[in-house]
Amino acid sequence: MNINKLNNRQFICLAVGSGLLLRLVLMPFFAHVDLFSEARRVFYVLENDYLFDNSHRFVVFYIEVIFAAFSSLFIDVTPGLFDIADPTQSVASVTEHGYFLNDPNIYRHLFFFKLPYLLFDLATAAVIWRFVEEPRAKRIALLLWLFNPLTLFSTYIFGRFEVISLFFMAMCALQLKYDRVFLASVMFAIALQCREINLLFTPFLLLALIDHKDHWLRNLVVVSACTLIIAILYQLPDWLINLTGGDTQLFVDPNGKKGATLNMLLALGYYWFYPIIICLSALAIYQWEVMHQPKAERFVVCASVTLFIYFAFNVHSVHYAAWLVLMPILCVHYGKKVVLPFIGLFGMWVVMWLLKTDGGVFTLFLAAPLSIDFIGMGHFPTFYKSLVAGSDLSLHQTIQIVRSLFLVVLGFFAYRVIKQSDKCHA
Amino acid sequence: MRKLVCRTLAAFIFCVGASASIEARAKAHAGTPLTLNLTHHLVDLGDAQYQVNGDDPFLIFDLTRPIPAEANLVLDFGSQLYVSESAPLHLELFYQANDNVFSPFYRADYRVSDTLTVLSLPQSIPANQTQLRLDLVNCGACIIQAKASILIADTSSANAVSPTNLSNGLEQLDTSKTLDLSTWQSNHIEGDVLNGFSISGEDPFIFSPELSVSTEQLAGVYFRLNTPIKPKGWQQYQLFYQTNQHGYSALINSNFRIGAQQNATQDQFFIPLAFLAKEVPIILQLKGVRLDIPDIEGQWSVDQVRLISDKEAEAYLKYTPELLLEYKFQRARGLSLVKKIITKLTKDAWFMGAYLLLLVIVIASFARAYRRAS
Repeated sequence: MNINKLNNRQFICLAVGSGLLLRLVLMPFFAHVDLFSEARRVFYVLENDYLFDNSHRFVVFYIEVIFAAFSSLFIDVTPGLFDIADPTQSVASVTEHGYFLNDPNIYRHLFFFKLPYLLFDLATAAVIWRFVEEPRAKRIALLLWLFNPLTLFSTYIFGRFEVISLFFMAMCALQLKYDRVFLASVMFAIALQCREINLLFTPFLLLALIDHKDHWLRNLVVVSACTLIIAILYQLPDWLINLTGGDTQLFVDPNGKKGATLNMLLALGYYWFYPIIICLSALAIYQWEVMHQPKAERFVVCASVTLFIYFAFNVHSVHYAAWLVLMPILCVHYGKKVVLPFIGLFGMWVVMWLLKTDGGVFTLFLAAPLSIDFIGMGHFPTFYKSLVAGSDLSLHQTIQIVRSLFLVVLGFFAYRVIKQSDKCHA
Repeated sequence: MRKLVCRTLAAFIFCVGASASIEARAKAHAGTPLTLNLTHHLVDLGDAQYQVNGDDPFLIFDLTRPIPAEANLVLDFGSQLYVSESAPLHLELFYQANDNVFSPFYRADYRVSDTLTVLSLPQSIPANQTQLRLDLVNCGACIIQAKASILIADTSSANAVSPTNLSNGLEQLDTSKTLDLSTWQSNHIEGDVLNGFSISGEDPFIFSPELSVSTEQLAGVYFRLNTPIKPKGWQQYQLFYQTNQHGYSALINSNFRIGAQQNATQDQFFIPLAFLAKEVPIILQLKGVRLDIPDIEGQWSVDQVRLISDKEAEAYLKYTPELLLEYKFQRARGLSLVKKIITKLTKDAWFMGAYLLLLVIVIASFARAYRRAS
């Protein structure tokens, strides 16, 4: 079948239909212990009526609470399943996760808990379709979103909520494209309430709000107003919860290091902190120098490169790579050729995490809802060690090589995203 | 030619001399010599001497006639083996076999501190037994002598070394069996298991004496405990079990939570163990159970512990805790894993039915929309 010969409606039916089917097939059968930790916080709030006691990732959390309340219509929750003896220690142990995996309602829980992710995922696909205008580019962008292994893995296999944050970032870019700067700021503030990592984009959003054709005073007012909107909306949940007498510290560990908040927030390690600051500063200068480009283009290009810089120096958890997908896809609208770097990225990501994996990542542990017998089955590093035992290339060295190649792919990606397209030159 | 004749003659004289020396030592104990049939992880050094060269050294002997009810095994391992009171040699004698395959459940363990020693043989050795297997557990790369010096003496001896441990087959669990609580032991507990106890430390648990129960028809273990009134919330218990494959281990146990009912002072639960005999590697023998109990102040006692057989499991399944996690030595693989997955999927038949219907509706809707768009 030649997809170029399909009309738009046919193409959407085929792409969205198969994308949706693929997601539905994965939803009830895979989960990481992180999903259970999140689920038990949500159910703990519902069961104990602490509805106004959590301001952390406010938007994501309350979307999950609403869907969990809805799911209670279909699930007879096993008593004690979501019990948390001490809410300040809400991260689940593997044993507690085991109770969840053995629960007769496990498939219902996973299906309903991932339902908001599915809706926001499809909504993001709709925003991408709207954002990209050129017919062929539209299709490429939609296919990249619907069938990229990073989003599929992190949302439906690992089971995390990244797509909710990505939806609001996509909405932010869309509003910026239509020059609705205040709405874009609102969307960005909501995205901040979903994931703290979005803070990294703040300077690039504010720079993108500047229009070189406008008077500097108008630019100043716009940027100041948008900063105020973002700051107020970011603080609003805390204020509201305090006003209602709620306890914003419900799930906060009192023994956590308060002095290291920023470090904890972005998980910044000093060994890579400075290179990131230097690279992001250089990126800001670049953005200033291409002020003639459309606002949304400057934003999506710089947001893409921000993430390439971030992941060049830091890999974090396997599912965080899902952040890498959205902005480069939006770059397709500006004639950027991202398909080849995407293929390289997917390949290197798989190889890197196969090697770097532990018992809980990229292993059959994630299929444990199907059977707890999957836990403890071997993983790739063991296989690799047995395969190359005695050779000079240790697992650690191989990981370092692959990590370097991952960096090369990110560099290639950054080049393709920053490079002016032929269309723009014309 | 002359050289060859001389060497043959010298070898013959040496062999006759050595053999005469061995037989002279053996004469101290009258009896029937055993015939060495097979060695494993032992190198033949000649002159009836063998050196250990592997992890699992053993010798298999043929019996030329039935072993009498009271008999000893006379061993003379020769002067090259060093053993003493402080460094005894650990021997395992297996005495029930079919075609050289010995059952691990018919075994006598000995600790000997002399190279010339007399072992008291278990009376339970079947009269029709034609072979014995002797394992050298801890002698490193030692050299032993093993030929005409090993024999069966027909009479008992006051100096014979008795087994330190004797496994005499497995108890078949045809119907459920109540365990005798008076022989149970405990840790960090004050009092006794049967008549009542209180917690006196951080790691309280109770455990059975050594069992030798076949897992063939074992469905699980059932406990009924009298407990103090518990605080609100969920209490965590942990069942450990030892088998012929492993002892009590932090990596092999069943974790479960029991909810506190208001003013309830009894907990009862059934913990499945049927997988022991069903999953690879199959475990044949349950050697003991241990229950770790939650640290709650007050008076406890154990009312009943039963090993539940397949036949009676149905009545006890309702006591299986809903919050249960099994950390297992073995894991299902292949077809057995597929069967388990299907069983688990079909447990929630309503959801699975609705889910499959949803998939069908999605496929049909998009196919219809696609056709309309053509």
